[in-house]
Amino acid sequence: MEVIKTIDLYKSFQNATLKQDVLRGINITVSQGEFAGIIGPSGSGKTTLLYCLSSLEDITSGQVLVLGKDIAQYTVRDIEEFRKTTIGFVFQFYNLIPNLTVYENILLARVIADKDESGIDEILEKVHLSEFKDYYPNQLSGGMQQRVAIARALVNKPSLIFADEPTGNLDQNNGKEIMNLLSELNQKDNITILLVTHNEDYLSYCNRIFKLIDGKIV
Amino acid sequence: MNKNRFKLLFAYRNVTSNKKNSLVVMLTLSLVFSLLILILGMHHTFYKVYEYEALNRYQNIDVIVTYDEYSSSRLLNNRYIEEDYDEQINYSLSFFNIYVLIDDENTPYYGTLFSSLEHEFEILVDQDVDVDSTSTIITESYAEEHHLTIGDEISFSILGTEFQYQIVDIFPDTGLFSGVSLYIDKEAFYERFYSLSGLGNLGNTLYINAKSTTDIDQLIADIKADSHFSSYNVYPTIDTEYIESRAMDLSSMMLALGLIVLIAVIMVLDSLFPVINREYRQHLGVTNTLGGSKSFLWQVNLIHWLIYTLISFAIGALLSLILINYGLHVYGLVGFIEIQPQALLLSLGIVIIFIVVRAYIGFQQENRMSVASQSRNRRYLKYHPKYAIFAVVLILFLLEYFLEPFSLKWHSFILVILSIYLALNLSSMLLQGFSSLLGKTKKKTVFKLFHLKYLGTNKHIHQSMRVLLISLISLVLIFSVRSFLFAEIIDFQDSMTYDLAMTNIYDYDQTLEDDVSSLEVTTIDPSAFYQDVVIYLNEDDYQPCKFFVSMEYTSFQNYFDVEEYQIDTDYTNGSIPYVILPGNFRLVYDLKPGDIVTMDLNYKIQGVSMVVAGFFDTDFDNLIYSDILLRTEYSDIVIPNTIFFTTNDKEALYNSLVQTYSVNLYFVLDPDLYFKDYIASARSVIDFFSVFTIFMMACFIVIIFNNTLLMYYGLKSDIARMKVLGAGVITFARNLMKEYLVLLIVVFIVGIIEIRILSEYLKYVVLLTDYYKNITSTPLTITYGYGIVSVVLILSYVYYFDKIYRTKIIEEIKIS
Repeated sequence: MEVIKTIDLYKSFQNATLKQDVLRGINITVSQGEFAGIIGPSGSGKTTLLYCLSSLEDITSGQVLVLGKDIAQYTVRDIEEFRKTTIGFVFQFYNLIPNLTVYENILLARVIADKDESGIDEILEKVHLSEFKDYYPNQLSGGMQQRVAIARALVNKPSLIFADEPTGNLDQNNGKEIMNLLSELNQKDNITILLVTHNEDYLSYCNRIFKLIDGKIV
Repeated sequence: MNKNRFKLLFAYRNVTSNKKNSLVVMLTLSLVFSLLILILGMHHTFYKVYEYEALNRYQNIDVIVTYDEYSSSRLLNNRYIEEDYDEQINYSLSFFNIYVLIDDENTPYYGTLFSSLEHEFEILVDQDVDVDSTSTIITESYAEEHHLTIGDEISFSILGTEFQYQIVDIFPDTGLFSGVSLYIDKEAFYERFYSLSGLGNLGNTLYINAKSTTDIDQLIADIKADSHFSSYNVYPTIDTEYIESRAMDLSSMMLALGLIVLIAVIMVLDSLFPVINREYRQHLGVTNTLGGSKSFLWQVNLIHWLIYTLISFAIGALLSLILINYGLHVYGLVGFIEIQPQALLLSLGIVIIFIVVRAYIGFQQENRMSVASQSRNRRYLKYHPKYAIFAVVLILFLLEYFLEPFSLKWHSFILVILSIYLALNLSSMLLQGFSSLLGKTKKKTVFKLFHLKYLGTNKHIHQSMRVLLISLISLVLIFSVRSFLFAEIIDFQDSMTYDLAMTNIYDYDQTLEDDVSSLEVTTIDPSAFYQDVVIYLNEDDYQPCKFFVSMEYTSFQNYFDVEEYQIDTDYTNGSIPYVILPGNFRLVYDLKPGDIVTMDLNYKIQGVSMVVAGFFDTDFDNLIYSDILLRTEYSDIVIPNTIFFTTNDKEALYNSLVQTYSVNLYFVLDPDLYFKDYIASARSVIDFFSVFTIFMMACFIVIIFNNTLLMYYGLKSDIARMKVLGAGVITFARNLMKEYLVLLIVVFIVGIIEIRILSEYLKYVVLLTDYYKNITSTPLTITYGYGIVSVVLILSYVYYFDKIYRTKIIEEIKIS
């Protein structure tokens, strides 16, 4: 089943003097259960593509179909619902709330989705952070923080995880740990993952690779 | 945990996680509340001060009955009060009080002689009293001033009869028994002086204490209507109308200051929002990514602000309460002034409304950024000048300035508001222009590449500079108001150029004048002199005025040095008496020569119509002149009651007058001594006001410091990056000094222009309260303002430098 499909996706950024075409006619599909990687040099538009697929950026033209629905046509409410229930996002710099504990950072996702606290402890188990649930982000290592971010992305059981350079801020060991975790989630729970990375070593985790150069899939 | 509890938790964490930010915000917010509560409650505060002044003076006395020039006799019978009004009063004390010249080896001096039955004096001073026919009790201040002690002798003469008393006790100054005052037994005095006994009920002054259920105004009306007392002066000790007018007089000055302080307060509040919004930017990005709606985080943001607001409100209210009552203590009064609930609620309401609206606007602005940008937590906010709005406001200002379509007060109000907007924006444009100009130099320096760039474009710096400008203007205004209060007193003192006056004359005739002329006088002129007159401007408006003088105008100018403004002689020879009013009447009530006013001169002379012939040009706005004494149609009721003197030997004339005429219960008035109380009261007001001015100054000092700190917070990550690149302590010190100078120059230039405009128009804004105060800034007050701002800014920059010195590079780089 196609989880993601783009049709002639274009994205440009424009200011007062300059127009920059970042994505030029992207046509990709990602199926259920796939672990897809997007690779390319710096400035190729990888992160922008991920943001467009996950509704964090508007597209200039084309279509982005997620689970058969064109998210470009979504209303504000639809997008909120989409982010609550359909997708999870993992950033390079974790983006945890520094004033909330590990548990509360994950709880935030549940609360926003009007759900109760159930499932948080299981998720913490899954990411091996149960004993750190009352710690604050600044008390954790980078790898641990990223695991919290992954837990937060997973807690509402999304169909799809977007990961933007999740290992970019980590050392090799921690990076591998994160990739193993993502791989485990993909294989055991059949979660579709779309990963942006510049590290070709991590492509071995992927069963589908998109190479992006100058805004085009090659 | 449900959603609402989580929101509370989230907001609470945001408050407690960044303690420095929270402290800065709450400190500023507390000061803002305190300032607002003080300004909004100023009228009530002054009212209570004057009320306590009266209460402290009169203690338990509610009504006073005494003689004046219309009284058929100088003595009143207390029995009529005690018998006929026993259901309305608790007691009535019969005193015989006169001013006596007390003999002294060095210089005789004037004192107040209190005499009554012993038990009545005990009630008045709340002390046990034991005197005989040759003993006296004096006040502590009298004893201190003239180095007297128990056992010393005091002597004075009345109409050639010498009286000698021995001091048997010294009482603390209490209410009416204060200053240079002494007490003797009345019956013994009557026996010696009048050779009469059994006259305990008779006195020249009755002090009445009413029951708590008695309506004081009704009691006064009843006594005045009583045939036994209809020719006497009956008045309340707490004259609420008089107190109200004094309170309004003083608080009207606060309006001018309050307007500027309110604008400053709003700007300061506004400067706090970037501090908090910065934290929320990242939270907003994350919450949006998780699918949260705008309202979720908006509510967290609101709760965050409400926590700050409520805590700061409590602190601010407490601070105001302490300040007000400390001021009361400085004034020398005993009492407690509470803060009016209205002032509290209004200040809370103003701040909450502003915070909700401003937070909402800021929140919407953040929301308009794309989610990805929010998640990246960018910090740098650029200042964008709004040229179009500036141009529109400038045109409006010029139109208002040249066309003057509205009345003076509204014209001034509009100009003041518009000029403040223009000044604030002009300062930003000037800073931007200045930075751009300085940046055009060929040599590339750290100052040019980093500091100038931020000076020109960074929103925090522009906000800080505007706060600096408004602080400067506020400080100059505070000093100007204070300076005006001093000027009023000096003008008052300078306007009284007579050497002596003899008042309370009830039996004036030419013989008296001839007798007095034979004494050591240069000029002598009879007059009708009234205090606390009321002038009615129309059906609804009336104004009390302290002094009313009627005599030949050419003679008047010998005794009162006041400049004229706009005297129209067409009205000085008309069919009805004319008045010359203080200049503020022209502005407040739009009066002009030819207008008719009505006056109550005292309880006998009421509803007299007079034509306005002109105005006095003086800061002392409590002197009215009229020719009514010279009008034959009023000769029955307006009689000379005062003689004014100039003399080459004031002391000799004073002694002669007192020794000869005090027995008639005439009162010899030395303006230097008599108005000492009035001036002392005015100085006490200044002292009271000084407590507030010092606090306001402290607030603005803290605000300037806080804003410099906010500048640092806005730039610290970039400062860390510069340190990584090797920028050292000396580089930062030198460049901060340049930054300081640039800011100061811009603030100075714009400040001078704005202060000039405010000096011209702000005093007319006070007309909105139906009062006028000629408050203008002087070179001295401007110097004080600039001096304080310069010093405080440099100190805050020293602190800024210290913060830069201590900036931990790694922490800052990691966060960004």
